[in-house]
Amino acid sequence: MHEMSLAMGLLREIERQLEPYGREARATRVLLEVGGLRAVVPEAMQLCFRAASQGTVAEGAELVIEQIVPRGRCVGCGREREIDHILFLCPDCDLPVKLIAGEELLLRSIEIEEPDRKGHK
Amino acid sequence: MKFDRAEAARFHRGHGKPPGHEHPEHQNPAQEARHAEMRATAAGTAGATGTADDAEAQGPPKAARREIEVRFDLLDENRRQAASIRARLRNEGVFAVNLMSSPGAGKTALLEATLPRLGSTRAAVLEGDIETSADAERLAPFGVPVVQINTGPFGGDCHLPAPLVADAMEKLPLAELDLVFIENVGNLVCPAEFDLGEARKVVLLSVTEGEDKPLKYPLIFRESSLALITKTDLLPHLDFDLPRLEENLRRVNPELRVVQLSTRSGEGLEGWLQWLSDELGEALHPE
Repeated sequence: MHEMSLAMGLLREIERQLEPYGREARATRVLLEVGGLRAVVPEAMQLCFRAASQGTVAEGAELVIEQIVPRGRCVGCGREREIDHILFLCPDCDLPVKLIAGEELLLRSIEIEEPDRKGHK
Repeated sequence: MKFDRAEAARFHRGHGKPPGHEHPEHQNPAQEARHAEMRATAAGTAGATGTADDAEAQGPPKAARREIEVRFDLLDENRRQAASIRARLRNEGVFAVNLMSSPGAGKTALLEATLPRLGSTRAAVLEGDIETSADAERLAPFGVPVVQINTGPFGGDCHLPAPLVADAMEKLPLAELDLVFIENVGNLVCPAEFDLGEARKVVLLSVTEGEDKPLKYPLIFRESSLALITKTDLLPHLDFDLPRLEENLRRVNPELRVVQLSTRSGEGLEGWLQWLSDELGEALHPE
């Protein structure tokens, strides 16, 4: 169950990112890129995010998980193709395929909601 | 669903610069670089735009929404800790091997067979489990330093994370050691994700687990330098297709070394010990 420790790390970073925006700022949407080789189960990640975000600036925020299809480039012919997650050999050359996508685990952006500043002047 | 930056920009009604782009608390160069990149991105795309509802908002509570670009790798924190462990071990001249497998594949049995055969190599063990110190107790008779790490108090993590390993390393007399075995929590999935600062990852797969495991759990086999096929003494009782397993291993990691062994019969152990001694020699006495 590594989703829970990932969710906790994610929330630590969200809190860090929101700090400069003041105490009342909230995260309303969080965009996470997850590579297909990362063995992250989206449903489990959602559940852990909901649990771990209780009482934080991201409570109630929508977690958007964008799954990245693994891709690789053959070290022989240089051809790029999707890796159907079990084949790391080039079907043409029988040579290793170097991974170029699929291992992401990236908090890409956060949508922040701030109370209207004009009211606070 | 994706954030639509252009759409967001159209709704943006002069909210000024986002306040958060100076981040005085971020001081390390990597973060600074990341933030510089973010600022560049922001400049090029009207940046951290507000999907402001202020244009149409009727009455309180008024709120402004904006999107900030972050690009934070969730494994960064673990990676940083792992890098510091790796540097520490290199300074102390200690070679660390991260042993990973599903529960019951024979990690502790491998250590029981290995520790008495190390000759003058001074070894220690970090023993990872969710609960109990049963494995540390099994290794106590060998007279090497053993530190038990339980992940139970830390949310029952199914893997060892680098910060726990860093703490446990502090309890070892590193200056007096050549080799540290890190026995990970039994699991074929999560341990593969977390770098522990080890020099080599080794995955064990017992012949009772099936030939298809490399295809089902490719990451752990991709991350490892060596695969140990364990419990080969059981082969006569099983319909296990060794050539197929080897082909599957090659498909997920063409560079993986493979050694078959049985700690029960002792067969194949010399292959593992030879690998260990070659790697140790190369790491500790380069050229």
